Order: sequence, then structure tokens, then C-alpha cells
Amino acid sequence: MKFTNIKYIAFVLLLVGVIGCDSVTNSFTDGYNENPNNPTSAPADKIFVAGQVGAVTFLESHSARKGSMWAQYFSGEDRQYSSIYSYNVTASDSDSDWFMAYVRGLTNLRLAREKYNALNVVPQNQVATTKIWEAMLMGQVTALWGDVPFSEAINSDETTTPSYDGQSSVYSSVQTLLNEAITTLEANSSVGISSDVTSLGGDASKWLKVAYTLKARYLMHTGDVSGALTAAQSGIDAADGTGDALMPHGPQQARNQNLYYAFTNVERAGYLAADRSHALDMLNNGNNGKTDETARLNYYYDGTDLNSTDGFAAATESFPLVTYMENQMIIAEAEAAKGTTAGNQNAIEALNNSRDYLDNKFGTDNYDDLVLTDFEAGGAYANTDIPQHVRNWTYLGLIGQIEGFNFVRRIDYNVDGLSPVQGSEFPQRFLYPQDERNTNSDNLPDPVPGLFDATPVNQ
Amino acid sequence: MLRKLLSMAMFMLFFAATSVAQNGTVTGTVTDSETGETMPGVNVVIQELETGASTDANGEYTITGVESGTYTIQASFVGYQQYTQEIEVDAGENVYNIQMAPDVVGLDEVVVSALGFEENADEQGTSSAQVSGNDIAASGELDVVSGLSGKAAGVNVTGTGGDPGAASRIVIRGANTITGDIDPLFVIDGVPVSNATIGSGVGGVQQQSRINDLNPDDIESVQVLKGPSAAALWGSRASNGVVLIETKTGQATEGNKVNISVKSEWSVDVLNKTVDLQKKYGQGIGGSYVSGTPFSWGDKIADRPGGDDVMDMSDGNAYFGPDGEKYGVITQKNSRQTYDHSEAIFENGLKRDNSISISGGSENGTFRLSVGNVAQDGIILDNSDYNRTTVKGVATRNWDNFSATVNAQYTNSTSNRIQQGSNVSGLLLGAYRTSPDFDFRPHTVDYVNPDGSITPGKHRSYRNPVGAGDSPIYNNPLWTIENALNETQVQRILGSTELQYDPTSWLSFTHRLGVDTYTDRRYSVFPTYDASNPSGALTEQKLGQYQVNSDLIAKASHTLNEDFSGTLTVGWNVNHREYDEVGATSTDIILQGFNRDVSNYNSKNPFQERSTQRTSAIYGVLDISAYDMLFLEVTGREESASTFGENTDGSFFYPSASLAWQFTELDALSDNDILSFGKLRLSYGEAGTQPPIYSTQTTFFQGNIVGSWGESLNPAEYGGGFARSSEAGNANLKVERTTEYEVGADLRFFNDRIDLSLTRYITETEDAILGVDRAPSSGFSTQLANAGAIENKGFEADLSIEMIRSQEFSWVINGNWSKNINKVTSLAGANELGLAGFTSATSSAIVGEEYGVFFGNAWARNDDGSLTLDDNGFPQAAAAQKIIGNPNPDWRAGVGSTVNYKGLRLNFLVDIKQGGDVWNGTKGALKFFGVHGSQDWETTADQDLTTWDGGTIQEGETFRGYVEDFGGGPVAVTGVAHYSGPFSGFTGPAEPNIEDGGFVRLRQVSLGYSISGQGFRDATGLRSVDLSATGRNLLLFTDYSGIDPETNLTGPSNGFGLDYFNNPSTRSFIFSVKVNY
Repeated sequence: MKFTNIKYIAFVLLLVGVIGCDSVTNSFTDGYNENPNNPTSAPADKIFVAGQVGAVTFLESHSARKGSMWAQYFSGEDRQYSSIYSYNVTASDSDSDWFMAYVRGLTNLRLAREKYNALNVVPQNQVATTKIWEAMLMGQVTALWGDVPFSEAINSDETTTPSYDGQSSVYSSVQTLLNEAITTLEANSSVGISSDVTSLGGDASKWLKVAYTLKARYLMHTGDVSGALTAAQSGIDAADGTGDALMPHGPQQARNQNLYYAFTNVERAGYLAADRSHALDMLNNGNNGKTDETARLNYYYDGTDLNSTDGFAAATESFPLVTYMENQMIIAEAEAAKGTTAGNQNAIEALNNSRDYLDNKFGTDNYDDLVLTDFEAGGAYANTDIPQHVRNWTYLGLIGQIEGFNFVRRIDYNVDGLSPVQGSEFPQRFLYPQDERNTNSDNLPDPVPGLFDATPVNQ
Repeated sequence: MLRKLLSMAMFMLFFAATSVAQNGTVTGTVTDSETGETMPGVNVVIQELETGASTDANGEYTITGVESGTYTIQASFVGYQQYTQEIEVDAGENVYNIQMAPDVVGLDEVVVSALGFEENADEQGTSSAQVSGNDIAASGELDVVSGLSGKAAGVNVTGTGGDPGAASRIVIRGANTITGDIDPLFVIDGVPVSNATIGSGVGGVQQQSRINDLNPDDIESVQVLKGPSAAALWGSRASNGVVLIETKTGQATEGNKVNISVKSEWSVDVLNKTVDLQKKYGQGIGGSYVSGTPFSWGDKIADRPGGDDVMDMSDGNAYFGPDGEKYGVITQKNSRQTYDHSEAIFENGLKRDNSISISGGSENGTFRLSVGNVAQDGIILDNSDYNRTTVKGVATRNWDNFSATVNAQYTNSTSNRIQQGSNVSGLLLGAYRTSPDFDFRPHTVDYVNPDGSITPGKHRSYRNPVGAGDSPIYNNPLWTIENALNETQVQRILGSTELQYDPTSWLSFTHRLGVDTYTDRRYSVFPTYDASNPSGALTEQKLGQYQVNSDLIAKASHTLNEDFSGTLTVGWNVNHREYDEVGATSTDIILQGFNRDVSNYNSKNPFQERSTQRTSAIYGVLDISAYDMLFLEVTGREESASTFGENTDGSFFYPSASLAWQFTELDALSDNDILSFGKLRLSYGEAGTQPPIYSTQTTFFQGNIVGSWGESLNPAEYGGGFARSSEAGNANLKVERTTEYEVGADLRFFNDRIDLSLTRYITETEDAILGVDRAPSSGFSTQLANAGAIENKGFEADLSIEMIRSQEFSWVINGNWSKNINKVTSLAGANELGLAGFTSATSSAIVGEEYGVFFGNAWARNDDGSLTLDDNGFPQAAAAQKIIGNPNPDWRAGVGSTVNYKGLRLNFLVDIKQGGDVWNGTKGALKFFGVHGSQDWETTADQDLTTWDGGTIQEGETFRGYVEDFGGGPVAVTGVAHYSGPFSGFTGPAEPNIEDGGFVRLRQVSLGYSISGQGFRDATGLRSVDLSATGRNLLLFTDYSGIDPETNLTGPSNGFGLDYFNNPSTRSFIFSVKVNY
């Protein structure tokens, strides 16, 4: 009898053990889900740095190389790059560009701004600089793709499928961001900007001028030539290059090396070269009584390769984001467009400023000042009218940058000697990425435009 | 051995039950008819009297009080054929010795339950597969998983490559998760252990699985619980099944004898199958020789004049070879010499496997000690090897109602691997692409700089034929073999203790504690002038896992009456796992040649990762048997895990139930001559897959912002930055739940000579965790969510036929067949989820399709299926990607046979995979370069033909290419269609490179002879000497045009069927001697 009781009690205890022992099991597992490797939040400055590096990676890597191939600055000579060079490109090729712009760039720039705005004392210049960065990034994004998510972007609490804003609306938002930044920086131009990754070293007055040059750039995109001219006149004004926004680079692989160098020398030797570069040909044939392009040629190119030893694609070479050169070219283009003698005179002045800039940059005296008669019979550029020369010159002034691709599309590839490398059409855009087609297809423009369909501003 | 253990246990149970009586006595010794060893715990019964006894530790039995007369004596024991004999009993002592023959039909009759207890297979309501350790060791494979290949239905093993120690992929039935681990949980002697494979990818080296650390010679048996219905007690780690490994223990021996076995095995490994390369056309483009070009679209080698090449010896174009001679860039190629780049980098490999084990014991306890060493030199010329030393000891001590077991293993393995895959430093990428007329000797030269100075030690390759610049673009394979090191050293300790206490006959307590810990120290050295790392690189890495597991189990049994009995088991499990990894990748070497010191590099990128994961559960099992024919088992596990989201309940319940009905116990069927045994099985179970660790919160990271081509910037160089992860955290993450229904029958015919087992299963996984793609414009590109669903339906059959059964001669044929149909049923709205591979061909999950189908670029087609042609009559790539192949086989089968004649044993195993595509990315790439074996075409045009670029080949012209009509009339497919047009894998769709990877393989054939006759034993004092010769992988029949189709670029990953310059596999000739004392 006693025996049976023990048995009975044992069974009951065992059954009780099975049922309702959550607390036993939970107490062993609770508190072990906190990630020791990565924090769940970070301060604004740190996020801002990441956002800038993300934006630069967009501006300086695959998108820049792809744009440069289609602008025929460089040529694709191996595998996927040979296909891309000859306009053989698929939607998935844009995935990484888009990801870099939105997830690494815009996300962190906006998060940083949110965090700055949430501080007890809001650092206004920091907020303003995040706006300039966002404008610089999203201006290029809309230039490359046309209609893109902007107002609903990076707000996953509200929507995981952001709608696409019209291209003109994005451009106007970009202008608004720049205007706000300009207002702020003009009021606080002596207050330094922290966590600035560029060559500007946090100088608010320099950032102010960068904001104006960017305004000019995007007004040119949208065809507001006179507005662009006005803005450019407040833009970067240091012919010695000290006002240029550049991304500094260093020798450390996978840390701070120039991304052109990392691509052409470390990751994908042989993919990107200049065997079939129109810019190289133009520089080769660009010498005359006023102009000696040797230094510029050797800066960008080394034979049929990019100059990765001591030039544009060297490991430690800074990458241009916004420069005095570009600002002067906008002035030149806008002035030349007037079709007046005064306009031509002003355009030539801007050209000469940019020629001084190049001499400063290369430490040369290769670029003599131009005068109106250089474009008349017997002149160095006798066969070229001024607007065409400005276009040729601007083309050569943007080698390796996305803006060069934006520029040639804006002017219908009207650069001397430029013709499609395949077929009869020039590329007009980046394709909408496969990732976005898979996840946000309802919001994509319908029909989805192809490579040769111009973005709305260029139609 | 299992039988032995069980017999010990049963002996102890029945020890006290020996009866006392008066008349005659029947006594004797029961021995194993094969080994001659005595058998404790055997039930010996005199049928007519319904009386009997069981044998003691020495195998002796005594039945007293038997009246004189004629009786039938029966002896039975699990795993042996029933012994029946008529005997005469007189007054006094009657000696009848009994020899019991092992039941060689099919698998062992004793199975191991999910909790590690031994149970009778005939009472199980779920199907299971058991493979003996001897069969695994006999396969000639280095690791347990590979040794399971083809041996059990539904256990799908795929080798991932032929490098020494490379992991194998094991998937049971089908993938029951989409992005979680698809390999089963491994449990050794009741304790879960790690089988991680860390670091596999599209480039790099073939990685090991940690189950490789086990010496197959130490394994007694492997049992596979194929799905949740059998494995639900392992809860959230069991949805892909559980592999239970029992290691060998000591055996009680006569007279305290110590058994010693010494084994020595030698194996020659041979390159199994290689890629066909053309040798007709030389380096160049457009039919002309061009030095340094990647292409082999040059001139026809046979048309060259012969003799010495003309070289440009000017500064900047020349080098001094190791012979001191000066060579230059070839400006005119005269030589007709060609080189074999497909086989020149291989040799025959050699493997030595030596082990010794010492064991013994008595009824008070047993022990076994073993030491094993495997030293393997791979088939690649150098720096491809594997060396594993294992030391293992197990000891058990028994008291009346208490026993303790200690089990400890130490493994030290080192390995050198060679880079493979999508990797310009990879071996075959550089080797296969090299033009046939380029001699990759010498690989290291003294380069003459443009200014006339000399730089020694430069890396020469076909794309950089004089060693100019810093990069060879592709590594010279010989340089890679000699200079690039990828070392790994693993030190692992597995230890466990088991205590068992039986306070009464109906109650027992078991406690198991297990520790599994290892460190893996890796060095990866790329010397200066390596293609991936021209400035030199070193990755040093130390990673390790640590796991502690404890189970406390109480088991109570009760016999209600003759017809009903039951057992209730209750347990508490806690499990703690840690992962720790720290290392750095350093580049830009300061002192060339001094490659292995971090301080010798200018640029350093450290990395680190840690994690801790905990699981805890209470579980119970109720077993009820009724009328000796119905066996019901119900289990439940209530579990918590630290990986579950904050917003979930935090604990989950996993039930299972199974019913076995031995319908041949029915009176109507019990004396059936044809059907000697029949059982129907019905089971149901649920198990899970835990979320990946730390996925419930969104985090920020300090680390590189990496572009899609590998170029990257580190915010640390710009003041330090933290970026938000592209993956959104999900606080609602819960366990994936897999539900399985299984029904089956186990039938044995003609006195158990034919054994047939049939199983049908349906497995459904809901709430499968997957990275749901988010629109990147939302700020996140992915988020883990319980969003997917996947199901597997399949059928398995195992058949074993004992053709001849006699004392001296036996012949068994066995086979297994399985078919699994998998379907991804939901991906939360996503169209496609990439698992592994490249954009051009990705092994993917796609709704409505089988898991792992290839999604990639295809030919553009019209609505009627015909090719959409361009203006010149050539096909074009489609704009959108689609499904282009399926790596899942239609079915798999294994057929084997074993013949034993006296001491001679002949055995073979044929492994069949019907269907299952492989993406031959190697071929696609080689076609771009013009080196693939199929590209030695030479055609004379019988009419004017258009080429892809619109050119014309005149009638009568002989050209390199072929004529094909794609629907628009015959056209000439020439070089330009491959290097510019869409006919190569780089420039065109992957569709034409999808090939049938089905195969029929003679996986193993072995001939063994065991010398163990009594005379031999007496003369030598040895128990036996076993000799065997085995061929592994000797024959392979496949339509696949690349290397062995049993390969996968990304190792044992979820995605599979990818071949892209994978290092090839081997076949082996193995000779083994085993001396048993």
C-alpha cells in the first residue's frame, strides 16, 4: 500500500513538472538577447559621419564609374563592366547604387538630423549641414532616376513602401533644403561644424558657398539658367581649390583608400580603363597655342588606364564632390547661353577662372587666358563657338563624377565628337533597381522607363 | 555492442529473479555465433514449462527443477535470431550450450530514442534510420556525415568539394526552414554538439564542418530521427531532424581480458573528374596572338611555324627567370607547344589513417580508450592537407543501483586549404582561364623595370606574362599553391558525464552533463603581388564555440496488468551556447616575405563578434503498451529561448504522438509463414527552428560602408561613425514551427528474410523566418519576420533481402529509395529570396517552387516559346530574370549488397541521384575566354553566314565557330558572340549553363577478409586480423560536363547546386589492416 502511494505521488509530481513550468525555463533564458556587438542607438555626430561616408560611397563608387562609362570618360574592359559600357545593363545592376543612396546615405543623414533636432540645444549648423548633404545626395538621385521616393522615404514606421515623388517635386525639395541651410548658415557663419568628413574642415562659411553651388547645379538641371547664375555667383569662389568640397583619402585598404583606386587596383583590376575614352581623346587632341592639356591628361590617365599612381585614381587622392571648377562652368554656361557679347565676355572670364584653377591644381602654367578673338578666325578655338567650347570644357571638368553624366544628358550629349558606343542612342538614366521593383512595384512609374528613356527634366 | 549494453542492463534487472527448484537442471553458456563472445542477459525459456532464466555476466544460464522429458528450449535476444532447439532433460545436470546468430536482416533492432535511451525498434511509431559505425568507417570517408551517403532513405548527403576535410551538406527529407540552418541537430551520447561550418562563401576555401572532429572509428552507431514526429523532444532545434551518434564503449570480457585493436589504413586519392579545356587556339583575340590578353580567341596553334617565339626584351617588357635567362613579352608566337592547365596542378593524394583502441571490463564497469590519427595530403600539389588526431576515453562504473559514465574526447586538427571559387586568387579560376599556349612556369620572376632596375620576386601569370605592375590580375595557380596559405587549427574538447540511479525497479533517475568547446585558429596569407591583395594581406582569426548542456531525467514505469504497462519520463533541459570570434584583416605589408605577423602590415581592419544563446525546457514522455501489440508514445516539451522577441510569450510547446501497431500479434496472423512481422506506424510531431540570434532589435554598427564590388570606406577614418543597420529588428520574432505527419509500415517476410519499410510523410513549416526584402527607400533593405512557409511531402522505402542465410555464407541485398517534393508556400509577398550564388544564377526560394531553384538570366522568348531573335538572327538575353533550373533531385536511391563467406566479405554501394540541376558557372565563364573544351570548333561555311556583330563569313571560308539556326536561318556563332555577345556566362544568360547533375555512382566497393579461426587464435593469441581493400567513388556516370556534380561552391549552405571554379573531388583506393588482440 505504502509502495503504491509513493508511486502515485511520484507520477503526480512528474506530471506537475511538465505542466506550468514557464518560470523555471524563463528564468534561465531571460536577459540574454541583448546584442553585445552592436548598440541599439548612437549619438547624432556618429550617425552623421556614417551618413556622410555612405553618401560619398554612393557618389564615388559604382554610380560614378557607371556614369563615367556612359559619359565615355572611362571604358569597361572586362566582364560585367564591358557589358555596362556597351549599354547592356539590367535592373539588378542598380541595386547597390540605390541601396547606398537610401539605406547608407539618406537614412543616416535624416536620422542624424532628427537626433540633432532632439537635443536640448539644437546645433543649427549641424542641422543645416545635414540638409546640404541630403540635397547633394538626393539631387543626384533624382537626376539619375527621375521620379524617386523622397517625402515618404526613410520612414518605415509610417510606410514600408514609400511613394515616388515627381522629379520636379524632388528638385524643388532639394532647393528648399538648400535654402533652409543657407538661411541658417548665413546667420551663424562663424560657428564651426563638427563631424565634417570633407576637406572643408567644418568651416560654415565654406559650406555656405557649397550650398550655393549646389543650388546652381540643380537649377541648371531643371533649366532655370538665370537662377543658377545668380546662385553660382554666391558659390565656391576660391580659385586655389581651398573652397572645394572634397572627400579626403588615405593609403589604408578598405578604410580610407580612394574608391576608384580600390576598384581599379584592389578589387577589380582590369575592369575599368580608358582604352575607349572620349575624354582621353579630347585631352590628347586638346593642345593648341593657348592650352597645354598634358598635365590634366596625365592627372586622369596613365596610358589607357586611370592614373592610380599619382593622379585622379591614386589611393590617397581626394575625390571631388563640389568644386570651384563646376561653379565657374555653370557661370560660363549660363552666360554663354545669353548669346550676347557681354554674356560671351563673362563666359570667357569664367573659363579663364577655371583655367587658373587648373594651373593652381597642377602647379603648371598650361592654360593661358582666353579672349573673344580666340573663337574667331585664326584663334586657338576658331572652329568652335563659345557655347560649344563651354560644353566641351565642362565635359572635361567633370571627369569621373556622376555630375559629368548628368551634364551630358542635360545637353543631349552635345560634346564634340561624342557618339554612342553601341547603337544609335545614348543612355538617359539609371534603371530602377530590381530590389525596388520586387518590393515597391506599385509605386514605381508605369511603365518602368528603360535605359534610353530620358528623365522628365531632360524630356 | 548495443546488444551487449542492453544485455548488461537486462541482466541486472533480472538478476534477483532467479528461481529455485528441485528436479533436473538445464545449464549452459550462450555465445554469439559470429564472435564467440558470451552473452549476458539472454532469456532462455523452456517453452512447455513456461519457465526459464536469463544468462549471467559470463553468459551462463541455469534452469533448475525441470522434470525429465523432452522439451523445446528457446533463447531470444533483441538483435538476434530466435534460437529454438529440442532437448532431452534427465535428472541431474544437462548442459546445452547455445549459439545465437545475429539478426543480419536490415538495421539493428535496437534504436535510440530522442532522449538517448535504447528502445526496441519494433515498438516505435516513427521511422528511423540506423547505420552502424562499422559501415561508416568502411566507407573510407573522413567524417561521419559523408559516411552516411546513400545508406538511408531520406538522408541526403552532398559533398561540397574534394579538398581534405571539406564539409558535407546533410539535409534530411527536405529543407524545413527557408533561411535557418537546414542541417539537423547532432547529438553525441545524449549531448548536443556543434556541427557549425563557418566561413563558406562564393570565394575563399572549402570549410570544414565541426562534426569532422569525430573519428568514425569511435562511432558505434548513427541513428537519424528524420523529422519532428521523432524528434519533437529537441524542440526548437529539431525541425530538420536529429542525428544521434552513439560512441563505442568498452565491453565486459571473459577473465578481465583487455581487448586491443590496431588499425592502419592507407589511401591513394585520385582526381575524379576535371573540366575539358580546348588546346587548339592560342592566346589572343580576333584570330591573332596578343600577349597578356585574358582571351584565347587567338590564332590556330597548329598553323604556327614552330620554333622559338620572338620576344621584346626591352626594359619594362622583360624578366629574368629562375634559370638566369632573360625573357620578354612575346611579340610573335611561333611555338606550337601547349600545356595542360586542367590536370597539371594535381597529383595523387595520400591518406594515412592509424588508430588504436584498448577496451575491456567486467560487470562492475567497462572502459575504452582510443587514439586515432588521420593524415591526408590532398590532390592539389601542395598546401592542401588535413591532419586530425583524436583521443577518446569512456569509462563506466556500475554499482547495484547506481552507475556513472565519463566520456571525454580531445581533437586536434590542422589543415591547409587552397582558395577556390569566384576569387581572382582562386586556384582553378586562374588555371582554367589560362590560354593553352601559355606556360605558367615559372611563376615567380625578376622583373626588369622600365628604368632598367630589377624587382625580384614578381608574380607572373598569363595576363601579366612578364610580372609587370603589382597585380597578376589572376593568380598563377602554381604561385597560389606555393605561396597563398590558408591554415586552420582546431582544438576541441567534448566531455560528458552520465549518472544513473535506480532507487527501485520502477523508477530511475538519469543526469547527463555535456560540454563541447573548440577554438579554430585561422591564418590566411596572401603574399605581395597576389591578385586580390597586391600589397599583401593577412587575416588572422580565432573563433570558437562553447556549449554546455544538462538534462535531468526521471523515468517511472508501471505494469498495470498482463495487457497494459506504461512508462512516464520527465526531464529538465538547460542549454547554454556561446560564440566568440576575434581577428583582423591586415593589408599593405611592410617587409615582404615576413607574412605572418600583424605588426608587419600598415593597414589593419579588426573584427569581433560574440554571442550567447540560452534555451531551457521541461519535457515529458508517456509510453503505453497494450496487449503486446499497441505502443503509444506521447511527448511534450515546453521551451523558452533567449532568441525570441520581446513581444512574444517567450515560451513554446512542442507536442508529438506516435502509435505502433504490431498487427501480426493478432491471433489470426501470428503464425503466418509469409508475413513474419508486420507493424503499422502513425505519428505526428511539432518542432521548431529558433530565430537567428540578436534579430529582435535594430542596431547601429561601426564598420565599413561597402560598395557592391568590395570597395569600402571605414567611418573610423573620418572621425568615427555609427550607421544604422540595413536590417530592421523585429520584436515579434518567434520560433518557426514545423509540423510533421508520418504514416508507415514495417514488414518482414519469410522468417524475417525480407525486411521492407515504407514511410509517407508530410511536413509543413509555418512562420518560417526569413529576411523579408524591404524597399530600400524605406530606410531598411531587409527585416527578419515569421513570414514564410514551406512544405515537404515525401515517400521513403527501405528494403533488405537476405538471399542466403547460413552459418558460413550469407548474402544480403539492401536498397533504399526516397522522393521528396518540396514547395515554398509563402514568402510574405516577396517574389524571390536568394539563398546562395550570383545574380546571374541564384539558388533561391520562390513561392510555389521547390526550395533552391535557380533564378537567373534566361533567353528572351516569344509567347510560343521560340527564341526572340535580334536583327542578325541570334538569341538575346531576356530583360527579366526567371526560373532556369532546379537542383533538387527527382529521387534518390542507394543499392548495396554484402556477401559474407567464412571470413570473406564483399560489399558495394551504388548511389543514384535522378535529376537535380547544377549551374555550371565554370563553363559559362570559360566560354567568355574561349578556353572551354567545347570551343575548339573549326567550321567551313557552306553558304554566306552572318555573325553576331553583323559581319559576314563568306561561303567556303573556314572559321572558328559553329553554325546554328536559332529560328531565323543558319548563322555563325563565333568568338564575338561569346566575348561580346550573349553566349558566355559573363555576357549572356545563365540558362544554357544549367545542366542535369544526376548521377549513378559506385560509391563504395570493398573486399575484406577476417582471419579469426580457432587455430589462428590459438597460434597467435590474437582474436582476429581484418584485411580490406576499398574503392571509394570508383565509377561515376553523369551527363554533367564539369567536375563531379556532387559539389557546391558555398559549402553546406541553404542554397546549393552551384559550381564555379570549385576545387574538384576525388576517388580513392583504400587498404586497411586491423589487428584485434
